[in-house]
Amino acid sequence: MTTQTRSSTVRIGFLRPEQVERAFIWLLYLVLLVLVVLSVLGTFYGRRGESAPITAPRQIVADVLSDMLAFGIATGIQIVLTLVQYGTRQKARLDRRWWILYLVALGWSVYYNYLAYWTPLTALVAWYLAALLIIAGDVLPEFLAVRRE
Amino acid sequence: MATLFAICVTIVILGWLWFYIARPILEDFGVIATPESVNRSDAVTSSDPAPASAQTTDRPADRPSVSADNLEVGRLQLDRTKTAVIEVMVYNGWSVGEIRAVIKGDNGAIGVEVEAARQRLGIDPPDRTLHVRDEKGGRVITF
Repeated sequence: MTTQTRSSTVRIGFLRPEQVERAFIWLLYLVLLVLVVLSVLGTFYGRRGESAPITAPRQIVADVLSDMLAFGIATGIQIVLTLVQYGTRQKARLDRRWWILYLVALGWSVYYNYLAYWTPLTALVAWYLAALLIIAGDVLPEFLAVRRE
Repeated sequence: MATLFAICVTIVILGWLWFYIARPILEDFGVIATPESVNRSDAVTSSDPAPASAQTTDRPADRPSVSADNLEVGRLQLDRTKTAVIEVMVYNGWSVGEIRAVIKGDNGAIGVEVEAARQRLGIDPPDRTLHVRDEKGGRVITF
């Protein structure tokens, strides 16, 4: 007959904290990707002066495929605005006047997204929440993407 | 219920936007004070008026030791610079007496600044010595 010794400490749980943290970070990156895509689509529809059909993804695909040039321009504009937005925030550490350019880039991007998402969002949520979601949706990617010490 | 949820989300987003965008901008433009900009060296800035003999700027040595372009530098910034200089001196092993010899200002306040710098840097203050000369002769008392 053998005697088995048991550890004096009883542990519960099967998920390692670092695994949970890593999964959460991937979730944040997924949100980042979705927001970036929505920003590009917002620029695409905003330049056309149309509302984005966020409840009809197939319509979005069809619209993009039918006007790839406009989609490419929208992507380019969004890349430039994103770079300006991210870069000026870093430069503002040294010179506060860069904040002005930051707000211009942010405002420009928000304006396109306002044109694209205001109508569909206000149909779903209150107007004040829609306004904040549009602004936060433009700022959150930067918050998630740029590493901070 | 949906309205309550919307209000909660709105408050969260507003708070985040405030801390991430509005507050840094307002801090950088000096609209609101940062914790760092709070004057840590208030003690150095003596509110006592300087003696009349020290008020004159006739002599070159009594004029401000900054260029004309820098006259707009805020008092707060000068005090922060003074605090930083004292901290560097303490870090490099300067004694209170040596620091007092080169930094202008109230000696007691500078002593307070030096002590604060030591605490921030985790440096133990040196042993205090007292030179005594009496009927037993001269000796040094450490305390």
